[in-house]
Amino acid sequence: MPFIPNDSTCAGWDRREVIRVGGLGLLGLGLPSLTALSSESKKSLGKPASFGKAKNCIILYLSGGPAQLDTFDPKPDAPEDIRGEFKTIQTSLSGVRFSELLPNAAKWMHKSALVRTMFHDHNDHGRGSYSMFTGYQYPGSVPDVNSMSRADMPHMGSVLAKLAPGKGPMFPFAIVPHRMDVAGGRRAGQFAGALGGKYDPLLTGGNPNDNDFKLDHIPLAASLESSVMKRRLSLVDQLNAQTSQLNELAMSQAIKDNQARALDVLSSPAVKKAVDLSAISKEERERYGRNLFGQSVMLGKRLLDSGARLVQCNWQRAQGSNGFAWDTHWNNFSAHKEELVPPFDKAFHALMTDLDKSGQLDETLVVVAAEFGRSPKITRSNAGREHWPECYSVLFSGGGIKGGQVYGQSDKNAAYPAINPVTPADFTATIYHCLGIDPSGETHDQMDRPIALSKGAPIAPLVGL
Amino acid sequence: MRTMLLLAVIASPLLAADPWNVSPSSMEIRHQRHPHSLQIFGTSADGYSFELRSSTTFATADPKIATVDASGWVTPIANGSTQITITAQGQTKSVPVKVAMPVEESKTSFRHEVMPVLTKAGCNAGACHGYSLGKNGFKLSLRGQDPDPDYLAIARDAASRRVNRLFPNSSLLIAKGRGDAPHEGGIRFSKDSLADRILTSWVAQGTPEDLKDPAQVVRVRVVPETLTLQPDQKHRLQLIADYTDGTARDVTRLAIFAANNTQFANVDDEGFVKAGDSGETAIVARFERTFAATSVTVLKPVPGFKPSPVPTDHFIDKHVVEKLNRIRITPSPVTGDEEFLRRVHLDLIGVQPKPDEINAFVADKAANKREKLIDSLFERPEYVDHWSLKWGDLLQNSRNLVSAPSMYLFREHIRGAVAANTPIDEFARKLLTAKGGMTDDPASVFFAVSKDTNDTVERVTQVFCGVRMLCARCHPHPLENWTQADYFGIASFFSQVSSKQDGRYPSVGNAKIVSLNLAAGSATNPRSGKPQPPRFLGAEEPTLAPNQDRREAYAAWLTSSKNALFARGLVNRIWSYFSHRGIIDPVDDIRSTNPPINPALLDALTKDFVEHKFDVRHLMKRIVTSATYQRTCVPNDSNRLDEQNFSHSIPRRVPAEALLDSLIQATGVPENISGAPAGFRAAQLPDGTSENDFLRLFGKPQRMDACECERDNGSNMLQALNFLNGKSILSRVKNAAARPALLTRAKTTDERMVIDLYLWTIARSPNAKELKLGLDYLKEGAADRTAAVQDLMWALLNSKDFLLVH
Repeated sequence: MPFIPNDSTCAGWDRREVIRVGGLGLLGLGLPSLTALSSESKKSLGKPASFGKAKNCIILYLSGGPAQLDTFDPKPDAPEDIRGEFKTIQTSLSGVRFSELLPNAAKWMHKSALVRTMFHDHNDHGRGSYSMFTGYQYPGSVPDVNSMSRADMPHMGSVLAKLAPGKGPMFPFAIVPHRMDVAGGRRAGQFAGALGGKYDPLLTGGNPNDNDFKLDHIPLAASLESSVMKRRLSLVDQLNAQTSQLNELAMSQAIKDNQARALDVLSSPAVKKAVDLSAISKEERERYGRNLFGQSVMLGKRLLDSGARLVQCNWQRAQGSNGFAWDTHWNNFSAHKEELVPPFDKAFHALMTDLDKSGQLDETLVVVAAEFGRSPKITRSNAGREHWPECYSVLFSGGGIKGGQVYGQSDKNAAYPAINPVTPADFTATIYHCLGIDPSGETHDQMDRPIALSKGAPIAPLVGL
Repeated sequence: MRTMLLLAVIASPLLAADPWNVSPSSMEIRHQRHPHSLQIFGTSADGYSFELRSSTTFATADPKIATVDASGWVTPIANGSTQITITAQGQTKSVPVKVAMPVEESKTSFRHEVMPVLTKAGCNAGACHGYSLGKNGFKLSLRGQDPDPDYLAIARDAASRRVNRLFPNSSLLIAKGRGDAPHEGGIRFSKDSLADRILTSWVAQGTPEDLKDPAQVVRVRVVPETLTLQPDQKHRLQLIADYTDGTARDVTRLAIFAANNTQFANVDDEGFVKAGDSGETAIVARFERTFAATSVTVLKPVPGFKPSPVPTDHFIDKHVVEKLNRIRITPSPVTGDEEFLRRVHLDLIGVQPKPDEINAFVADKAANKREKLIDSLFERPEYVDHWSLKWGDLLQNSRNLVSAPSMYLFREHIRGAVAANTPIDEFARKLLTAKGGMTDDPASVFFAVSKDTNDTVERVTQVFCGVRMLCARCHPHPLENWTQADYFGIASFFSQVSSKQDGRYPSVGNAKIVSLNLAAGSATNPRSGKPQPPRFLGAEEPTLAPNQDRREAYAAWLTSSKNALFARGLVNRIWSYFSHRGIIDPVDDIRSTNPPINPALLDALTKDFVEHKFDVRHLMKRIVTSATYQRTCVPNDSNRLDEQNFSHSIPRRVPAEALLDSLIQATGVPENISGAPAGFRAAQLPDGTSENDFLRLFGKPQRMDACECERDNGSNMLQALNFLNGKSILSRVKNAAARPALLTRAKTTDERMVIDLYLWTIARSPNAKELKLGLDYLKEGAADRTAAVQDLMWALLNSKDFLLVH
């Protein structure tokens, strides 16, 4: 029985949709609408083994936009005002070099697929992020994107929460620890948008770097002594038995099933442990880095362990000089060197080590991404790099991704894609594919209108197509 | 006995004595390629539909004029008159046929033959070549909305490779459709099928173009319009298209059929319906851009069914029971006082009754006490909270969209209207014609909420007509006849409106002033690129004086008692607030292809609402005084599976705000809700922005959308976790000022304690078994009575009783 977050009358519909989009039931004619008639009969094409290989996905989101030249796409032969200050190092994949700031990440290149030719048209954080999370261009203006609406396209995680929520108990889609909003707005793309509020992400909130951090947002740890709980539950059963006429109703059944699931969570020490960082040893926490991002990644991994399907760990604005995070219009080099890349490098390495050691890497898709890169040309007056959506890098590992390859090649200055450009729609299509959702399928909004999941295509060599 | 019963079951729809009808009763064929079928059908004495074509003999009087085949298709041969003789079940009827064709057979029509084939074969569907970017370089207009570019795409583009006039079979159009050439979309039609023959002959004739042919489909009719079937029974449908030139064409073979709910019926490509489980659905037929629907009722025979007496004292009950009698369902009886009291409290004022209210009501011996109670609830302040909340949701009053002062002023405007019971037509007119800033006219916030004119179009249609126009912004609506002309026709009524920052309140962000530019022109229809004159929804394009506020014309049309959409949409919506569904459901998705489950009921309610001048309290009182509303949720053998026809009450989850307010009332422990003045009840919260875990979890809408679906009344695991293990109940139950502590301090007897806990928590007294259970529990836990009392309240709050409106 899959965990369906909502057992209203919609649930049956969703279940059908799960099958349909999963590519298993494309010949079925179960849709109560005329529009479905012809789209339904489309033949299911053969899927490579990578389809659905990922049981879950963790996205390390470097909000603000890292400099591709100072991280994954260094250009040591470019002129000085482009290549920047850093040397390069050999990675574990022959012929591929990273910036010297990434000594640990470099150890995983043989298991990773690096895409160096992401590009899109939006030069601002809000709309750029929207593209990455939804695969769609934001149709409105820069100020508009700070107010989410139910006309927005859904975040990939919300699509997953609707179509393939997994078994739980954790909510299928979580953002750790906070959204990236500005000035009290709620930035579009980080929500379920048109799919409706019930698929909005769970926010863990708080500061996972706190010594005694617990996910107290959700009462996962039993608040009652088990003997008291037992006593009370038995009383509930006896009371419900007296109103048997209510028991056979669909809504009663849903309530009962959900109570049973809730009790499973409460009786599971694993879940309780997963979200209680205070119980973890100092050394263990140090391995991910005792900083907001490092601990967010650690918490994110543990949320996956407790049943979430897609967790996005956001680099918070507060972490970095003057609240700019990766948005290094000023002091690009000192910030990358001192505040940004090393904590990322450490957290990524710890995450990959843990997943690899436990054998989970095969079924966990790890994605490192951002809304864009930074301008090749350095702004000398501030030692800064500006927004650059024309060409930037994302990294995929595990979860069905064929590791040990670089896809796409940027030009000599990492300014534009030279070979094999990749769009955000391709980016989301790749993630959907690995998670077992046919990116060319569709889902339906709250009013039953079809939404094409992605207008791109999975990056073929990454998924073995 | 068993055999006899079985025979009776099988034979009943085909009783020889049942008279049948033939449709059409006469026919005129004006085209060589327009054969017409004869539908032989009727209703048996026991109410089932039957259709007899497969057991009918057809004969033509003059085969030189028209022939008829075994399945009743009449094919024209030469001009003249003849008649078809139809013999079925020992009865004979005849249908006169007139054939009046042009001398020369016209070439295959792109408009009237090729386009329907492309649609029927699914070529122009959204997932195929109708996709905005086309597929594999071949793009067709979505669902055939635009024949002109489609003609070019097929006959001219791709260096005309899609058609091969010398070797039609080599045309990509045909080879891919048949599957002779690789086609990602699979095989769409087989060789020598009707579709194949039409496409092949059109190509062979040199792809003739008739885009300017003035003949257009006026409407399609499906015969018959209603079906009553036994499970698994089959029935064929016939679809007739009426054209502007007066011809009627049988388009059954070129139409698309689909069932709204395949649990109850399925339909195949040829229009054969097969009944499924007992229940009701509609079969929707579509030809070109027009729709028609057949309502299908699937019904098991009920031997010995006794119809219930049809009530005469309440028209709701009359129409509901009439329908139930037709579908052999006996309704459940009216529920007891306590259950009724809690239900009507939750539904009318959004909170449970208190113990003294319960006791007083139960003790009242007056025959009309339910009606008296209902009248008194309309006077309660909670009534204003509850319904202002509802309208605040629908009108999207939110700080996310307007300034906080605007939001509060608009809230007061709504509250004033609810408190004064302003007729809903007046309320709507006020909103739709408001202008100025929030302090000039708080109703103007209605427009301030809209992002743009399109948003206004979608809000005014969805909220006040229950119609979803969103689809028609970019292309013809897939399930209704709305086009962009309809959408932008409404936009043109609102294109004079603009809202910008109110200069008088420069420091209040998002305080807007709504102004009118009377000289502003109509909205532009993006499809034609031309101004679209104002057009009422599904109605005419009125002649309006220049420089008048066009919104006034729209508001007057909208709220006119002659406009079926307004009153009917609102009646249906308000009905749904007292039931588990609308008479049309979803309530804000009204279209011809989503027919009402009980049309007579909806019509009668609408008529009553209009006659009572859009008085919402009158309508609500009509509903809650009906036996239909007051029925128990306990089903009987005949209505156990019925969830559509209001034969018993179907419990719903208590909505977020009512749940929290009832929880607070039960325990006596308030909730601190950030973002609202202290002491506000959940129902009084001004908008959806308050960060409150409980309300969010239980689906309080954030007012991001005018759709009822913004509110989630479902159940999920996190809700259960919150109830079982969260602070909202645990800490309330053990709070020193809470009900358990208060009742314990009052040193009552155990019996009084159990009864009081029941009354406060689930608003009814325990029955004898429940009382004993409670007493035993308290006795067992006597050593720690405080704990035992807390246990009992906790358990009652976690029982299904508390979560459900039943």
